[in-house]
Amino acid sequence: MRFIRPLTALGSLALLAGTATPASGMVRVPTETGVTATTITLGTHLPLTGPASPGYKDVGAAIKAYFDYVNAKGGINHRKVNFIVKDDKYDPAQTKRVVSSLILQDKVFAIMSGLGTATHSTVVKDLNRRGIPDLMVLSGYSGFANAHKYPDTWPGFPSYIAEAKIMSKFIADTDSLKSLKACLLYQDDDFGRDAAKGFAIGGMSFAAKAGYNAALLASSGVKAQIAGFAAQKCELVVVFGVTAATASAIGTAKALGFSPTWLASAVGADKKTLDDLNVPKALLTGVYSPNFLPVAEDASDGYIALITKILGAANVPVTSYTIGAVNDAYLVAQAIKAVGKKLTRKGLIAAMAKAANFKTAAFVPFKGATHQGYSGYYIGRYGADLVQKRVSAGVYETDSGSGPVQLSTFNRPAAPANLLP
Amino acid sequence: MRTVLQRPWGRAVATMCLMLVSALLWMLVNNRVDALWNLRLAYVATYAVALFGMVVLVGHSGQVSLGNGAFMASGGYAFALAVMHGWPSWLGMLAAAVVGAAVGVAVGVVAARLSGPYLAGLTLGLAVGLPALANRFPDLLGGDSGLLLDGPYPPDRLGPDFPLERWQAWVAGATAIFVVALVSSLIVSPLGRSIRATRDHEPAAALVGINTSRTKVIAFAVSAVCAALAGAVLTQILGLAAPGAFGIGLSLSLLVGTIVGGRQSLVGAVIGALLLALTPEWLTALVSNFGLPDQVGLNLPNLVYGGLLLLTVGLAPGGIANIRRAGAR
Repeated sequence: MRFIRPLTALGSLALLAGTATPASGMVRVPTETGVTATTITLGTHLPLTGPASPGYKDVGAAIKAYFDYVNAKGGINHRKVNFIVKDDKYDPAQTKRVVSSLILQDKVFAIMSGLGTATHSTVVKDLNRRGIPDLMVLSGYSGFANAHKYPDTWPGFPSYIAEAKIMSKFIADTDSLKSLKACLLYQDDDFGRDAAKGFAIGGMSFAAKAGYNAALLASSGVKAQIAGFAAQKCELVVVFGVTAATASAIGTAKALGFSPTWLASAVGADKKTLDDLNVPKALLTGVYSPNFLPVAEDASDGYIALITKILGAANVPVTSYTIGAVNDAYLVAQAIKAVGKKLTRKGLIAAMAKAANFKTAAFVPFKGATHQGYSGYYIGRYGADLVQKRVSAGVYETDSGSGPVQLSTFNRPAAPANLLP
Repeated sequence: MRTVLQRPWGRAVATMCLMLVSALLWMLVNNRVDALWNLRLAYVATYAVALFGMVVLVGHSGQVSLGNGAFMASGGYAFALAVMHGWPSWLGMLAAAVVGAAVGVAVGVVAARLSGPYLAGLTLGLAVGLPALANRFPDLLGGDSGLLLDGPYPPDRLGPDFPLERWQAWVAGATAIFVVALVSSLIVSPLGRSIRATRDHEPAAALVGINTSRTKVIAFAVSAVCAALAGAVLTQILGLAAPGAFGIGLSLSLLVGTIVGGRQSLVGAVIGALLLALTPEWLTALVSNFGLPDQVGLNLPNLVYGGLLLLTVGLAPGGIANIRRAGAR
């Protein structure tokens, strides 16, 4: 009988599981998952630790600060929002795990502001299969803005294709830039591939291109790529990558005595984050970068005043990321409010399709019906005072296809008296 | 009874009956519990598959491996590549086993010449280096983002509402039952005795005609096949084969699970699997109940594993599965 003993191993495991489990099949959900008479549970995955965490780790705290503010004023339709942040370390395998636990254990009503292209790619299919609203994904990967494939997903950034098209248009329209010898540094994944598509559509050609591997960024930076650009005497370097790549690029160029004009992508140019990454402030002067929101220093902007107050009350730093996070949370709160007392996932998805009616601080419309989301950018430039100022003729709008890049005629709604939905 | 079971056919029939009973029991539990528990059980079974292989390697063959996470990676990527090329899941599992065996034999041949810290060093290098290959060949292996799979989903004949997690628990459970049957048969077979003889006294084993290096290589290959199958199951649960899923932490925790559960015991492997699959979640919940920062919760499992390892080695070298037996002695 000796050989039987090992086989009891699985039997014992099965019994153990059977006894250890509460009769969870008995619990009946009265309304919608993640919604009770007094609460709504939302969740997200963010890099709170690891190489991608600088800047982004504050996004969760910013959204929490916003919902705390809303909760203190009575919540949304008398329901308080419980917002759960889980750390995925920007590791796709970890994203899958934490989102599974948000869905199965925390039983969230919806996911909002999940960050990253490679990371969110691991969960987007599953969320849509289950019909869970997947709102304001912090990625510009155009694949997420696919209303047909992902009817429950809305991106929270304009697409990287649109961004690259707008950069191409801006360079072509700007006399001081269009004759410069341009070179491109890009992240070697879907993020960079999207950008390459956009530059191709925008008719932008580069004298040199170099990719970097996101996984190796923390260890080797982009030193070799920038040294290559210096040898080729590039005059305009476009960095289409994360902030850590921009930081490494600018730092390496400085060490080499190489001083091109810089144009950094929107997700790679946050001032506070660059500062945290030890980029000397002076090096930031003159750097161009797209943006679709007002900047932190613009005290005359009504939205910024309200957002700064909410962030300040919760001791969350005011950065382009946290401004965007609060703005996105404001939009989601309006969508939840619009569904009404009987809150369902289907209802929220229907409300998001009408998001064009909601107020946001963005200078471009949020296109909910097509799932495109925010639909354009202006180009800003850091001055000697390290404040980003708009230098493009206006705000550009475009799509992720071959549509033209046009100056926006969008009139942003005036700032409300408060940021309550 | 005893005489029937001593015959090969009797043993085979009894084993199959037990496999069937275990499978039915497992499905019964899966049907009773909710999706969250099914996912947990799927992880438990996945870890168990890897640990069954560790029992053969560490417990019975006496070799140490800090790198079985790398074998899991080879199985996971083999499965992902197979499925992405349109192969059915079961063929993907077979591919994972074959790739695992090939990698296991290759490493085993080198490992058979090493022992102690040198073997630990080799396998540790494997754990660090093999998953990093994904970044070396990003076009084939998807780099840091990994290979993303659509599914595998429950077969259509189970109906559209069949829960994904229950299906994953079935797949993991079936693999565990299959592997435990094979491994337990191996342990009681003449080959199993040769493996233990080689561990206990290599020159003596050689003197009675055992090809000791070959048995050591076989033990390595068996543990690699188990790990590769576990990796293939993990890839199905995650829907993804990525370097992050097979990090150095995984390799080290497999060794912890083996030692703490009981390195010579398949029951110990199941105990180890429960430990590895469930403690991180419980510790994270515990930490957040105390209001400590998430950073503490994320790192606490490693601290607890270290503590358990020291306690086991000091107090119950045979592991949890052998505590009673050790006390009787």
